[in-house]
Amino acid sequence: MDIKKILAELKQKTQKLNKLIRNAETSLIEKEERENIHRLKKEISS
Amino acid sequence: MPPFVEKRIIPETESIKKPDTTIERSAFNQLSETQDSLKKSEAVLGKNVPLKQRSEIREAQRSIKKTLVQLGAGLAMMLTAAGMSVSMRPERPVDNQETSSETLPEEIVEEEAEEPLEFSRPSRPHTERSEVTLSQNLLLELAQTLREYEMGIHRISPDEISREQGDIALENALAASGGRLSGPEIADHIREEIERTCSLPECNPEAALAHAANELGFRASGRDRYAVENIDNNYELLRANSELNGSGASLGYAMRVIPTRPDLFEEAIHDTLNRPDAGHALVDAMDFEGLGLFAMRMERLDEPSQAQIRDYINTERTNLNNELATLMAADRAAQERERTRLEILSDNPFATVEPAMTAEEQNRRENQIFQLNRRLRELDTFLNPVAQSEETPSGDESSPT
Repeated sequence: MDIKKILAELKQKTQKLNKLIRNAETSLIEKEERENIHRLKKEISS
Repeated sequence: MPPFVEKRIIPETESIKKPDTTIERSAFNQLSETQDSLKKSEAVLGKNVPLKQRSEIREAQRSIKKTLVQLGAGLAMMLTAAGMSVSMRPERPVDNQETSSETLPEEIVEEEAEEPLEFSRPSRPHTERSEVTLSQNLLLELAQTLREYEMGIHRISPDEISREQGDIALENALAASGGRLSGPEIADHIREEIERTCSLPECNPEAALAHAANELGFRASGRDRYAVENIDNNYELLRANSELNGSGASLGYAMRVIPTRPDLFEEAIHDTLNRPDAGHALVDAMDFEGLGLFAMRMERLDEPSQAQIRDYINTERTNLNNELATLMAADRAAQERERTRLEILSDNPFATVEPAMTAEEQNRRENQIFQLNRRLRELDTFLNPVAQSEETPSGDESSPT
């Protein structure tokens, strides 16, 4: 069993997970911004 | 070929006496990095992440776990080759046993015992060879990473499960509709999907449904909602949203797109007027869009529809008035109890009398009264400005603290 190879694979998969985490965080921020804009518009209109 | 390769000259004696531990050190670093990522991913999954990204993260976690198991097997072989005994028994490492048992919930500890890959402390004293000590620690670190991963997976809350099932139901229903179904049909599909998919004991169908409805609203209120090609589809999504949570959102949306699609506004009004919760939906739409816009749009409708809307809003106003009267009566009773409590305490400062309500409850009630009064004033203005001063109960209308 080639441990170096397994480690390289683990590194690659961890990087992939990090990228997915970043994307998810960006989505959450965008969603929050949309909610804020929606709330502000509602406040202004009332 | 890498652009630069560092050449390290290893003395012959060193290469014979001490096996190179570079792999183990890099494994340590990698494990630490992977552990951090797994923790971060669990934290992100605890938030309201969209379904697709959620599934991708779960898949990446599972894939990492497989590699961690492979790494464990590889390291175990390495240890065995170095003359150490490695047990694959489901036994917790001695150093962590006490603290882990204290801090973990019982069911997690039981589930961990079923995990096939666990490492016990090597039987031979590890002080003999430093490189073996490193391997042992590495295995413990690896076991810990796997354990934390498992704990993360088992820590999924019922709320999160319900949200996930709501997302799945929504995706399935939208995929089945292919953009051709009407709002009520989409809503029916979502209900059926939730009945089918919300089978886990932790899944709450009502929470899953509410989440799916909320997501429909978000999708229809996206960045390109005013694009002509999206209006019909968004309108149907919001009708489905209204079907599921009775929010009157379709009416609100129709009002916003009226400059380009007055037909949708009329359709939305008639759709709303046929609903059992029409009064509530209309008041919500009015609240959502503002009284002025609502009144202006309504003036363009035919007389019978206008009269019907007034009837509904009048009934809703009566309901809200009753709600306000009940709340204020409860508030007065609580204040009376509080006065009695203060009198008892003034007679005997050591008496144990519970407060009538907590500060939080009081704030909540004051806020409710304030909101109801505000809404009632709007309805009165809409129906008849003169009635406002005569019929609205004289509650506490000051802003809540």
